[in-house]
Amino acid sequence: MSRRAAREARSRWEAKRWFVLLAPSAFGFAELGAAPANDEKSMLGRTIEISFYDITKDISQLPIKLKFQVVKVEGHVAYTQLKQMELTRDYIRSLVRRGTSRIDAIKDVETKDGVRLRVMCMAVTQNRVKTSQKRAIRKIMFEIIDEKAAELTFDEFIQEAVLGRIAAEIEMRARKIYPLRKAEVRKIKVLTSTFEIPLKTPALLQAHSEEARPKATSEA
Amino acid sequence: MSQEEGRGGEAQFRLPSPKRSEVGIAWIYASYNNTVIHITDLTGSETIARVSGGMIAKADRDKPSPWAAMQAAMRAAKIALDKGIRVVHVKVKAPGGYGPKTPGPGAGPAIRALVRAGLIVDRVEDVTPLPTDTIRKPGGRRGRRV
Repeated sequence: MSRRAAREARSRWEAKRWFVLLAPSAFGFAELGAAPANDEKSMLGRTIEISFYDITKDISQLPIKLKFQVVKVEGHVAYTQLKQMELTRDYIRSLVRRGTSRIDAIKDVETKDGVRLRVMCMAVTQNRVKTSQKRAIRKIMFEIIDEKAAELTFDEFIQEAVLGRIAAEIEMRARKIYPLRKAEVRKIKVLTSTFEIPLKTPALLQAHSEEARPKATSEA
Repeated sequence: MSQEEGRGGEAQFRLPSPKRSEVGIAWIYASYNNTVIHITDLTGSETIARVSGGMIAKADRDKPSPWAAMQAAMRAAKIALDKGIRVVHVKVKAPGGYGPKTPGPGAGPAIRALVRAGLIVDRVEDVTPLPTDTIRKPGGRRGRRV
């Protein structure tokens, strides 16, 4: 690269605007980070993948990866929706060992507010189990996924999944069949287009309690 | 719907001030033929620096060597530091698919070189594309005939 071309590339980089990415309301509009872009339009549809640890600062949640997609840009703020939740590969690898059985359950469900999800659950037993027992545990996992989806909205479902409540319930109910080493929601894919999921912006939520605002600003 | 209105905590929310990010992603693709160090922003859409072993080594057989990977990582890190990146998440990648699933010889030295060059490596992750089942290896039934 010639020196002149390098300088041009540099100025192109300097000319980019920076946008701050915000998590959806289910994650309390946490700051995900900032990203440069030429204009607002090129920001739309971008995805950012971070660890749940970045939001909660809880070290046990480090293997949970969340992928958010930008759906709306307002000024320097970009709002996102959840696109995918996944566990890191090395964590899953560490669960499954020799002499244990891994049982997967993958199911497409629709939450109470009509968002379609593909939920992938995983259970690891303490010892190798028979196929009939695997089937029974898988059936329980399917049941729990269906139940949860029917009674929870999208936001609630995601929260229950990342905080491990769904996994805990699987572990509890599958124990009747065979003791589990660990149950996890391995992955959730959001099948509905993220642009179609209704977005809740802080401005919208603020509109409901306008009086509380001046106090909040003085506090901070 | 009443639930959303009931969330009073969010009413105290203040928009963050505009800022630049100091965090980026360093994608290290290490195969047995080359090593590519690609530093991007957090969304992975904006390239900050991209240097490969082939840009360093004179002979093709040196492209995947640890030395070339180290030099490439040094150079990439320098460009990234110039552009204001201080922290990187490293994502190591092997060819995957039908190819080898373990990163090539350049991966380790490249990460170490990033650290040596002054970047803070926050976390390292393996993102090799692993097929759930497998595609057919090229070469056909009778193998590659050379």
